[in-house]
Amino acid sequence: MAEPITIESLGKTYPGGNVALHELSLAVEPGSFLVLLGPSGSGKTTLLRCLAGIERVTSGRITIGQRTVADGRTHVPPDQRDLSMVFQDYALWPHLSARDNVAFALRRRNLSREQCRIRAVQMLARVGLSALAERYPNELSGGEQQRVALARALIADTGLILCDEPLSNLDADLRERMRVEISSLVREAAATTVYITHDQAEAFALADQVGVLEKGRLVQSGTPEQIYTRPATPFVARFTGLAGEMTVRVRERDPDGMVFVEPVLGGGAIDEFSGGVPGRFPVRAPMEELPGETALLMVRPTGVRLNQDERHLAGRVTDVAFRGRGYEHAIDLDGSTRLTGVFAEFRVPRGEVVGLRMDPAGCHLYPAEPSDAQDHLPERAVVGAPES
Amino acid sequence: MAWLLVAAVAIPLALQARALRGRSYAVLSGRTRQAVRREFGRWGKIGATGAVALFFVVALGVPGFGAVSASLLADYGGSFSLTWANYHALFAQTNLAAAAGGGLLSPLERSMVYGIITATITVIGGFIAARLLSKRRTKATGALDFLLLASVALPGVVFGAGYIFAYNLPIASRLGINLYQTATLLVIAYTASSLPTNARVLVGAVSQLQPSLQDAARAHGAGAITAWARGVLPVVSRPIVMAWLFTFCGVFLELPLSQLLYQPGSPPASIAIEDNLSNYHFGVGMAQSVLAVAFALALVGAVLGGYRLLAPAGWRRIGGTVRG
Repeated sequence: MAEPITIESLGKTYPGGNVALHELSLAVEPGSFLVLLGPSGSGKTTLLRCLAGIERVTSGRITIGQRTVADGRTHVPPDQRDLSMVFQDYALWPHLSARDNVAFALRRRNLSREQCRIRAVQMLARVGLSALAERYPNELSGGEQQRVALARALIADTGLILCDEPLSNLDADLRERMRVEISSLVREAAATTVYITHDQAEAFALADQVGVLEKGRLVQSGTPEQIYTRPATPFVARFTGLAGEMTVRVRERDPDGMVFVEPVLGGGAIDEFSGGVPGRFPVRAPMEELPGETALLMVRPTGVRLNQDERHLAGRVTDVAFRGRGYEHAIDLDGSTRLTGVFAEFRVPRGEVVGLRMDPAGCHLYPAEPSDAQDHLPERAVVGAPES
Repeated sequence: MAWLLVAAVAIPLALQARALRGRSYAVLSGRTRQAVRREFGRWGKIGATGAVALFFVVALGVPGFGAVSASLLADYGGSFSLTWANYHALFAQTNLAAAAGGGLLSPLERSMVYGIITATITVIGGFIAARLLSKRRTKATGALDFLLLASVALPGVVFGAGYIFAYNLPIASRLGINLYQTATLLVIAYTASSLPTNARVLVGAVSQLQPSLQDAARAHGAGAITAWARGVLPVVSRPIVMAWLFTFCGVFLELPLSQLLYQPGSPPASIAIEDNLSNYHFGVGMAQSVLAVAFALALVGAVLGGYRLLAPAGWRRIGGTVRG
């Protein structure tokens, strides 16, 4: 039966003083698929290991179902939490066959050895490996080993499945196929799943709910759509995929919550379209921006389009990559500001000057970061095309 | 002098620790491929076999032949006829000594018992030490590492002298510690001198273990002991067996510590052999040496054979090779 998880003010400090988790709180609905997303060192693996009971928490509380499994005084060992786990390195026991690796997880169900074996073979058949049940892990490919690890996690029908970057050791093609398999098999099992990754595409593709971690703190939690369309911080925006970022000056704010900004570009900006009129375009702002202030603009790949006629900015194509469904361009705005992944169904040759139209839905405004101190900005930037 | 030896170890040890800081050797997991065995060509086989044969003839064959032939010659080579007289004498004296409550063969049995006890204790302690050393380096594990390696630098005779000095003090007796001239102290000394080397032998194998093997067992419902026994022990079983045999063989005919610490009236094999040789009973001494080596080889064979017959097939795959 799927279990809800509640994490309250969780802290973990390793011997030596390294703080891995800091006052982290999170609730996971029963049966939902939570993906914890963050870079190396963000604490996602530590959080997963605390959930598994492999690491002891320093402070705070973890509740699985109705049971507190970890707090300042309690530490329920991993084998008594009734969960299963898929490890980054698969953690298959090299001395056991694929069947015995899977059957191992059934020991806690007090079944006979024969029943364990039969069910293990059935589970291996579900992941497409019935013919390889007698093979040892080192006789299997990486994808096959990962399937065995997945079968081991699914066979005991636990209420909670933990996945520690299970796809990170696979090549791109296999990763995509395994992602689909994990998604469908885990959802069939109807268990609550906590999955960690540093790959935002993987996170968005798998998750019902995404939690973004930065330096041991949960900086945003929500559906993939919420995270992508309303990133709470520049870190979240950067980590979930940007075409680029630039400093802008706020020019006006309208009653609908849109603010109009002008990019603050360096001396190398392309002005051949501008006619001396500054490019000004509307963006969303989760903050009270005042006219005249500088701010940081984060642009999603979906927030910028090549558009010669209704352009806000101009730039020079520095690179173009064929992506099958079209072309992604890297466009230099002023010699130091660059937008990448700018999609078009047609190829624009390198070196050509193009017009860019900004889409407010893909542009996110944040207070200028300390490194963007106004004192260091040019007094008057050369900007792109006038607002259409 | 002993402190100088320890100091001589400290410098390279510190340099090694610095050079290897933060390295991981955890390569032993389900993803580990078996090593591929490459066959030599014809001339390569001849060359390699010849070199190995030459080494073993010089290192083992010549002294082995010398010992066996000396044990089979009467009057220590006074005549060249082969005889079992030395072995008969050994068994006759044994029966005589057994009737008197001692015996010449009993030193072999005694050494075998000492060896089995010491090897078992040492392997358990060595494995625990190896686990600690293979984990994240802390001040405590650094100190343990230094102590173990520094102990390797100390000759057995220094150990023995230290034990005599410590356990012969009046205060030891006043504290109720009456270990001097007991078999217990000899086994403790054997263990202390074997543990550092044993831990170093095992730390290589244990460092290769992926910690996730035990974590996976725990996460999938195994208690701490079961997780270790089913998830970790099989992977390191072969190195553990080898470390056990290594320690047993080292202790079985150990001389310096035995000379200083053996229980009066209950000499281990090495002391009994040395007594025979120093009392000019060369033939009997050699017969006893040959029997001692045969005992040790028989036990090594029994343990390795037992492992081959009894260990599950999956255990024996670890560390194995496949033909390339």
